[in-house]
Amino acid sequence: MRISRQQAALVAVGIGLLLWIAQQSWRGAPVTSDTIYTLLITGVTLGSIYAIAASGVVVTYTTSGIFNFAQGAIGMFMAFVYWELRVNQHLPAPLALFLAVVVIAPLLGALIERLLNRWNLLSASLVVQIVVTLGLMFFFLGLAGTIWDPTEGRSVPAFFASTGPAFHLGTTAVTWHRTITICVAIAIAVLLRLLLYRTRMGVTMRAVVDNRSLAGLHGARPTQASMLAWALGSSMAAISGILLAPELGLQADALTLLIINAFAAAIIGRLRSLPLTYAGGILLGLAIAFATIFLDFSGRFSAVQPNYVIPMIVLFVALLAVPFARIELRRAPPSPKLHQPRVAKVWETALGMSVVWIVVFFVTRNMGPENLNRVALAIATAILMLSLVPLTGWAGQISLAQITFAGAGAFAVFQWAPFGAGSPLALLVAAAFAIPFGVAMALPALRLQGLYLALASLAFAVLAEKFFFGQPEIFGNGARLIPRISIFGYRFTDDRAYLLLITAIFGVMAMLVVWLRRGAYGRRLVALRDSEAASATLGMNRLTVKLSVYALSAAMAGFAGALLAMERTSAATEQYTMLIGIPIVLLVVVGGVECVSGALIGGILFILFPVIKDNFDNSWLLWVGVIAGLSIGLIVLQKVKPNLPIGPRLAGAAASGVIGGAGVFLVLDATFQTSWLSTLERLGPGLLALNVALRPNGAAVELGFALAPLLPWRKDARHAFMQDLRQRLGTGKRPPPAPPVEPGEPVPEAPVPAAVPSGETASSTETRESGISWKAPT
Amino acid sequence: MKRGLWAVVAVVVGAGTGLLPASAGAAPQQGTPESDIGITADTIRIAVIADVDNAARPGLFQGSVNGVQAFAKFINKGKLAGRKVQVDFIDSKLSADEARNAVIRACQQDFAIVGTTALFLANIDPMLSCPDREGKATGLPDVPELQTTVEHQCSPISFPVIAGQLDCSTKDQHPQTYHTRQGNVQYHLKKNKGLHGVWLIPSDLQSTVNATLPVIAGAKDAGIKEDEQFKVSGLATQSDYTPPVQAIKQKDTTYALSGLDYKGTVFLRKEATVQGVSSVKVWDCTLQCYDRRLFSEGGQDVEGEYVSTFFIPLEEAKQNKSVNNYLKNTGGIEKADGFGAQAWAAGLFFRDVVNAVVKADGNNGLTRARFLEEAAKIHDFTADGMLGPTDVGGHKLNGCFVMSQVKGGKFTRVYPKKKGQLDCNPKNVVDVKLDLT
Repeated sequence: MRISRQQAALVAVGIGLLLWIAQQSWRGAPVTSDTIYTLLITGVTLGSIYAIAASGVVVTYTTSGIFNFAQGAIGMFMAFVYWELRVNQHLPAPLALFLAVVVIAPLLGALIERLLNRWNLLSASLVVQIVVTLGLMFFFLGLAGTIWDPTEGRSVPAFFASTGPAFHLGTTAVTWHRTITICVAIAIAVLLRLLLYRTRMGVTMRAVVDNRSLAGLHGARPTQASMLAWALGSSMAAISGILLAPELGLQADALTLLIINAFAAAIIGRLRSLPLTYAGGILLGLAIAFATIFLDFSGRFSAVQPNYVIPMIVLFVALLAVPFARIELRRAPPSPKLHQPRVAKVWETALGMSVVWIVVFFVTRNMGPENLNRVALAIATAILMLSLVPLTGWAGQISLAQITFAGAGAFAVFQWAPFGAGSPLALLVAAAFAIPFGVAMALPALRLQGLYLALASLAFAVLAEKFFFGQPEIFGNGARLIPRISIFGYRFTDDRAYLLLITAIFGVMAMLVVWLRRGAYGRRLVALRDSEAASATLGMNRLTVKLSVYALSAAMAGFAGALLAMERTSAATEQYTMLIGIPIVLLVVVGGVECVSGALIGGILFILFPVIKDNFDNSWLLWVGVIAGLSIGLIVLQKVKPNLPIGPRLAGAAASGVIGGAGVFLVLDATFQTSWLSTLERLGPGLLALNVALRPNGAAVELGFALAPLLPWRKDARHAFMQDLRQRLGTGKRPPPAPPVEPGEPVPEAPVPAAVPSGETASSTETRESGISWKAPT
Repeated sequence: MKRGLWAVVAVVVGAGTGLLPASAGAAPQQGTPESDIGITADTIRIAVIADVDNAARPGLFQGSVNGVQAFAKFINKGKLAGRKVQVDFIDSKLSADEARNAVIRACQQDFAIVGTTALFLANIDPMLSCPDREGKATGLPDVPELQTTVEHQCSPISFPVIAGQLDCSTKDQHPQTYHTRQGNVQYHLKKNKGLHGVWLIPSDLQSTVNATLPVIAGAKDAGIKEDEQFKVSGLATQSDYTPPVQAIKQKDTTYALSGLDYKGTVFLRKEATVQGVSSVKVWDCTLQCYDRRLFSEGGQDVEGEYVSTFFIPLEEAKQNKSVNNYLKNTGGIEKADGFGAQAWAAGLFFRDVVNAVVKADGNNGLTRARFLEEAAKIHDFTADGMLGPTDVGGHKLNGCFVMSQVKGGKFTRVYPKKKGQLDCNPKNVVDVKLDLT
């Protein structure tokens, strides 16, 4: 492994910083053989659990190319399954273990792989992969809380708990459970290494990732290999969850988060090397144990928890050592089956935003303050989501730290307010203050790409939350009160007036964003996303463009953060945590991250489930079941019996509707102990994110395609709509399907999808607009 | 079909937005029975705001909701101010936005909020500026159970039955003054001379750190020498307790206080068993351990754990009418917990204040302004004998406590010996100075 001087310097700075923190926080505990033994036992045990979880992540990534953010949630879910079998159903431990680790977990893993494969996630963009696996994580979290009543106390017995310690190291006793954990981690590391490098199946699994088609030509079975990889990864997750549960208790959130910590170990192993991953896990465990024994974070850092913060510091430092990302040749062409986003004209956006403002004006006329606040929250969040449109939507860069920039803006708006509190200039100050944060995150991250970048932003968000927002001078112990904006002496204390103002601001920002997109800068960003190599060949300074888009996005997020804080009239640390920020990224992708309307839809989705829960009763879901049943009945009859007369057709659909309603009632009522709307609220965000696998371009594009034909000036849309309709009814010709695209494989020219209104794919449009004509080498 | 599906979604979202109810808090009709928001001729509507339904910790403060609902059930066997009490449960979902929304909703449709347990209720501005029926910013009467921020602790319209430790007159000084309970420590020191200890501090939120540090300062002030302090996260594994347990072992610590919840305490005790700790004479824990899951999950390992409560233990329903009523109306001891008991007490305080207003102004004189006035005058609240006399109106901490110990898999009173009694010596509360803001 070669490390450049620059990397070595960065790592040295990182390590120096850690040593300085250690020196500043030194507890003063004597370093004796006993404390060293304690450090070793605690660290190695915890590290072994991290190593197992991280190995699962590495196996899945190495063999399928997908970084599974849901690994922790699967482990947590399987720990609950194990408890159900072992404690609730009183099965003997070996049988319960066998069922959980060897039967159910692999089946679950294989099922997930089948779904992801069916949804073409393996060849989807990284943003889609990340959003879908994060959606899976939220889904499992919600499902566990729904199936197993979280108010009940549950504990998983440790292995051989009643037989006393296995051995002593100095004065520190080591239990059988910990001994087993350490041994299992070593065994898994060795066996996985042997499996992947010494067996035909292992070689096949790795070959499938390198080139699925080529591996198939050589007699490998890519489908089986991929399924086996996910089954293995799921079993690893189950083992780590089951080993962790007696040590942590059956807490869904804690189990999930602790396994997320293992990502740092996976990065130390560069997502490839199992021995290094194992070493990374152990290093992580030792670092946490060291901090617990020898360090005391007090005063301004008293809320810093070593087991939450240290993995993120290690993750960030490990990412500094990752080699420079290779220039990506070109992204995969868009699927011809999907509708592609169309770049709106500025006047169209102005018209659309005016309609939005008018709708908000009329809908909120008689709205109660609670829902008024929710709508305002949706719009303010939509402005924050807008900051991801240039960054993620056009430039293809991923940031899970937008909430951090929003927090910086919220701080700046009350800290520095030229011309008095709430002056409009304060918003600009907020935007300006957020820029250094964006640059600070981007500078080390610029050398990274894709997944590494996403993980770096995740770590950055956690570190900012713990080391910046929690400071007494920033948000301190409580909330800072933020006055609303004041324009020409009028302070927008009235909630509806403020809502209308920020809706107008959203509209103006959306127009600016579209204007930017249509200009040279926007084309540069899209060109960068479509092909970094081509952009570099044409003389574009990739680093400058990337840095500028990070700065722009951070400024927009800071501006949005200030508006959001004014909407809430306060700002507190807990509003700017990494976990709060993730749904913002998920939902803007669900809405459609390439379009400004996607941000608006994302904002609406952000408040959708609380609004549904608070404004509708449980019977509402019954009707959803009826309508779903009715629709499915109609579709199935159309497919199976297209010539059926209208009477029997309606009768069949009605019967299907009744079955749907009854099904919803029976399944939800019998399965879940909480109210259906609570279930919907818990599972909804995860399900929405999973839907991205099917609609990677987001709801805005689909809605745009459905509604654009209604616009008088969109003849092209009507034409495309009719063509699409004819194809779906089987009276038109479908374009030939695109061959599957593999990572690293030369990409054939994409066929032009008939469904695209303008008659061009987005990529080909961008290529023409950017003035780039480049073809991948074959 | 895809288009159709999205169109359905669009229609549902649009219709949903359009169908959202108009202001539920529209001004009540003129007439004496509807004397203020949340009051009709037949009902008094109170809200309980609590973090219950959320992905991270589902069911977190369900006990508080149960406690307030038990109170309403109890009251509705008769009447309060000639009306029935209606409970409006508003879930704050462990979210600052939802907590703020909950307060705004309560301001619009409820007379007062009782038993609030929202961890992220950082912004109490909507509570302070909440208008009454006349449109005056009287404030929303608040009888909270949990106050995490300085602003909430020092809010003039909040009347917690168990007041916060901070002396609000010193909140802008450095250091500030904190009133802290010391009765339990004095008891332990009487029984065991020369205790020296290790403290475990829950470190996930700044507010939990700040709530524990005065307790430790109080214990040190009473005479327990410090061996070491450890900050522990809610995400800590049992292995993470090895270092504190080893510190206990190496220093022959005789006193160990857990400021953690019952789960953390179970891990601490289990690890102590594994490591063979034998020096500790007093395993002490705060109110969070007053949870039946302590011994259902901890088993033999938590035997001997001391837990002090400031109310009559729930095991003494036969000796205390109020406890008995709480258990009856909440569905038995299995469904009761410390949060529920506090919420029940908050409900009874609400009842006492309403009765005081009614006594002075009649059934139709009940307004938020009058409620706040009368609440400030109550200085000896006892929750029908469940608590010692408490100066709720003066926002003063009472020092009453009962010491229980886990014996044979249940909580057993050890001090004061006599069932149904509390130790309310004024010397149980001391002042300490710390700089935590």
